[in-house]
Amino acid sequence: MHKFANPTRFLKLAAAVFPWAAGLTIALFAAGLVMALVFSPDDYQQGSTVRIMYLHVPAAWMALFTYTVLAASGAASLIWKHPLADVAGKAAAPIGAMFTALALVTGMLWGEPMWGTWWVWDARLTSVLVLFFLYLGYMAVWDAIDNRATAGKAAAILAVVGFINVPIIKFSVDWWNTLHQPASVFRMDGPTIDASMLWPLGLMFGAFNAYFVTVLIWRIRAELQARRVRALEDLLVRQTERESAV
Amino acid sequence: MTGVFDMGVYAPYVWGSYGIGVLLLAGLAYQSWRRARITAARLAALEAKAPHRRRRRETGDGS
Amino acid sequence: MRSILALLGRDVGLSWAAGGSTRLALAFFALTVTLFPFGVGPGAATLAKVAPGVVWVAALLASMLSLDRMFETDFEDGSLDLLAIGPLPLPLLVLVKTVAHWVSTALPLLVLAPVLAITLQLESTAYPALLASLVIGTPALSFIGAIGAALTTGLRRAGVLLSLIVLPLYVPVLIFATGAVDAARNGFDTAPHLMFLGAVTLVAVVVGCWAAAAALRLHLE
Repeated sequence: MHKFANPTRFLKLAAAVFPWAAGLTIALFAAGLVMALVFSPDDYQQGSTVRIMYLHVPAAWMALFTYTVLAASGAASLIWKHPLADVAGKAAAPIGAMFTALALVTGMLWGEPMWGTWWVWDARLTSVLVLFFLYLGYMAVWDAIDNRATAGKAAAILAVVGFINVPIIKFSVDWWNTLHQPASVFRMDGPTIDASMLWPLGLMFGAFNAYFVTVLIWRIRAELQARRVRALEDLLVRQTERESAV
Repeated sequence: MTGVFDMGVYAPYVWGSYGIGVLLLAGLAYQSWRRARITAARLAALEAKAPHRRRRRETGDGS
Repeated sequence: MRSILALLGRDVGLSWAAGGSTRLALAFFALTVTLFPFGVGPGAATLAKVAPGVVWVAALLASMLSLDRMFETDFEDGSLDLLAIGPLPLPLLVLVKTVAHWVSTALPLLVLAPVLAITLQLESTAYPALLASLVIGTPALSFIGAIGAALTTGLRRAGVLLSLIVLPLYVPVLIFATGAVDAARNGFDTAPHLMFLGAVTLVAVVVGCWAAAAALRLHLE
C-alpha cells in the first residue's frame, strides 16, 4: 500500500516544514526588499536600475532551478514510478513559469534604460524565452490529457526531453548570438559584485527559495486533496448505484 | 544612503519591476493557497458524507 | 529486416498516395516561402539575406504539418497495437516510422528547396551549404517531431499542442542550419555549423526513439 502511504508521509513532513518555509519567506522578503530598495547603494554605472537585478537574478536562477525540479520529478516518475513525483512536477510547473515570466519582464525593464531597448535578442533573454515556452508545453500536456496517470507520465517524458535540450538550446543560442552580436549590447557580467550588493542579492535568493517551498507545499496539498476528492466522489457514485440496484 | 525616494530618472523602471514582481509572486501564492483551502473544504465535506467508507480505507492502509 | 522494409514501404507509399501528406507538405512549403517576398519586399539584397532563414523556417513548418498523422492513423485503426505486439521493439518501430516520415516529407523538400532559394536570390555559393544543412538537419526535425507526435497521439486538438511541444525544441536545429548557410553566403567555413548540426541530429535520433517509444507505450496500455 505504499501508494497511499507515501503521500501521507509527505503531508506529515510538509506540515512540519511548512511553518518554517512560510515564516522564512516573509522574513527574508521583508529584509531583502528593505536592503534592495533602501539600504543598498546605486551602481556607479547602472544607477538605481541595479536594484532590478535583486529581483531579476534570483527569478532567472529559480526559473532554471524549477525546471531542474521538473526534470528530476519526471525522471523519478519514469524510473521509480514514485507516486508523488508526478504531483510534484505538476505543482512546480506554474511556479517555474511565473519565475520565468518575472525574469523576462524585469530583464526588459532593466534593458530599456540600460541598453536603450526593451528587447534584445541577447543569448540570455532568448534562452529564457525558450524556457518559458518549454514550461507552457509541459503545462499544456497536463491540461490536454484527462487521465491523470497518463498525463503525468507524458508530462514526465516531456520534462526529461526538455531538460536534455536546455543545455543544447543554451549552447546554440550562445553560438548564434556571437554570430549576430549587436554592437549596442554591453556585457552585464563585467565588474565584480560589490559586498554592499551581495547582501540584498543573497537575501532575495533565500526569499525566492523559501517562497518556492511554501507555494509548492500548498500546490501539492491541493493536488493530493483534489485527487482524493475525485476518488471519493467515484466511490460515492458507485455506492449509490449499488444501493439503488439493490 | 540613497534610497526609496531617490531613484532618480530610473524610478519608473525600478518601481515597475518591483510592482510586477510583488503582483506575480503574491498572485500565485494567493491562488495556490486558495486552491488548497477549497480542495480541503471539499474533501472534508465528502468525508463527512461517507465516514464509514473512509474508515474502511484507513484500516486497509494499515495492513 | 523484411518487416522493417515492409513497414517503411507501407508508410512511404501511404504518404505519396492521393490524400497523403507528401504533396500537402510540398505545397505548404512553396506557399510559405512565396509569402515572404510579399511581406519583406522584393528587393534582392533583403531577400538574399533572409533566404536561409525563410527556407528553413518554411521547411520546419512543412515537416511539422504532417507530424500529427505519424502515429495517429495507425492508432485509430488499431494497427499500432498490432505493430507493438509484433516482432519489432517499440523504439525500432519509432525509428522506422520516423524515417518513413522523413522520406515522405523532408526528402521531397530537398528537391524543391534550391528552386525556392533561386526565387529568393540566394547566392550560388550558398547552395551546397543549404542542401547539406537540409540533409543533415531535417532528420532531427522528424525525430524531435516523433516525440511530440507520440505524446499527442489520440488527443483532441493534438495539432496545437504538438506545435507547442515541438517548436521550442527545434531552435538549435534552426540556429546551426541557418548558421551554416549564412557562413557560406559570407565566405566562411561551414564545417563547424554542420558538425554541431550533425551532433544535434544524433542526439535527436537517440532521444527521439526512446522518448517517443515511452510515450506510445502510455497510449497503448
